[in-house]
Amino acid sequence: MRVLLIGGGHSAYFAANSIRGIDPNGKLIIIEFTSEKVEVLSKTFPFAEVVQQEIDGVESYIRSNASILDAVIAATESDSLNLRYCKTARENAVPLIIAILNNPMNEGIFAKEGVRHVINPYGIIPVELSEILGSATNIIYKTPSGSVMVASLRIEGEGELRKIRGKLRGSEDVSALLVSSSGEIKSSIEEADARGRLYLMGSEEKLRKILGSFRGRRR
Amino acid sequence: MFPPEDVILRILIAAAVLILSYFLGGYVKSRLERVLSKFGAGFARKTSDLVRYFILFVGIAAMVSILSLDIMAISVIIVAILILLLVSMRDIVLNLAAELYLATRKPFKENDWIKVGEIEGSVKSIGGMDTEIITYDGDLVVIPNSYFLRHPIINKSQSLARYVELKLSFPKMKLDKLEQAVTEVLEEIKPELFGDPELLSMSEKDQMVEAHVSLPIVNVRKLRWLTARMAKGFLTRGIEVEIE
Repeated sequence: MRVLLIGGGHSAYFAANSIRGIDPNGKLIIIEFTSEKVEVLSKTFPFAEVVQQEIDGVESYIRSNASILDAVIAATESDSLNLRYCKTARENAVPLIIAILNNPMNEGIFAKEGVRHVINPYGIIPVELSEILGSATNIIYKTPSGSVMVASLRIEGEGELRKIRGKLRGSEDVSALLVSSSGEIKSSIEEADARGRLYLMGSEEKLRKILGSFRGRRR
Repeated sequence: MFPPEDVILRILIAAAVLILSYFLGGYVKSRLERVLSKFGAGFARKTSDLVRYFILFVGIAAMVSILSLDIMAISVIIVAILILLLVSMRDIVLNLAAELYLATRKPFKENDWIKVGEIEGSVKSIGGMDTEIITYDGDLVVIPNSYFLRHPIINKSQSLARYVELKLSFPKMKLDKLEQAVTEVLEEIKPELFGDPELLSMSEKDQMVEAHVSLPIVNVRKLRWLTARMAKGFLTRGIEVEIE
């Protein structure tokens, strides 16, 4: 794939390495604004083509290359610049547009402008905290298409285990895995212990209903 | 004939009904616009305008009735006007119905890859009256929304890549000399693709070799550019090729 990555900061560093891992033969173009960073990036990412552009020149680069670009990833250290570049890519029908947020509060603005893929690096904080602190329910992951979700649920007794068994009975679209308090992993909750953490993967709609019926429990 | 005081009373009531329907129409329009705004501003505005005109129309009909004009004659005229309006605005009504369908059913989103009727491409924008689609060739096609009511929609957006099949024809060439070149050229364009290109078949007949290849492409607009690159790749190896 031909991917244009805009920015040379921390987000762009992680993005460039990920892209290399995902598509080792792909064509990666990195745009940076300062000549010093361009030099560093060229050495750090020898597999990429690093281009220096003025802040205001990036849009015309996107416009003139839109017909051959497969993806544009806006990962500068400014959300307003990222939004500008995403909008230009969208107006020029680049198939895949991804923004990496600096401020998680801006997520809604990107969504409103029609940027479908917005990566919030801070989104992992509540997920990790919930797992570490053992919260009653936790949404671990949602696929970008929004159809599949992975969540976990604290099970505190036979009653709750019965309840979840009832909810999962006959469900073709949810799979469960229970990690008991002793660390044992069971793929069938019919023979699982009454205490532990249940990991569910399946339809987002169904999982939300299940989590909803377990919310409101005290820690 | 009615007595003069009765005529004045009827005129007053008719005026009151007309004024009432005017304000009621305005009120209902603003409320409805707010409620329907979740389906898009354009759609909300048009639907609430339609409801407002309907209320006004009912008010006028009531006013005519109060004034005791010949209802039969008036009804015939109104029905005729309505039919005329419906016939002349058929496409607008259909597009409005299609917009309601697209807003509620959501069969595709912007950037989705869809096939509807003979048209296939990426959805650039979904408007109140029409939808813009960019085709394989990079052409921008504007489709009236009513088209979606008459043709089945295939949404192909589950996968990022589209598999495009190309036919390569090599005149005056022998099969054994070509296999290596085709593999090399496909390898050259691989960085532009979403995965490995595939050589589907290769056959020789009448001093001509035909090869079919499958290319996984994310941005199908670069197909022309890719075919040009392939042709150049073969030319630098001294091989003439026609790509379809």
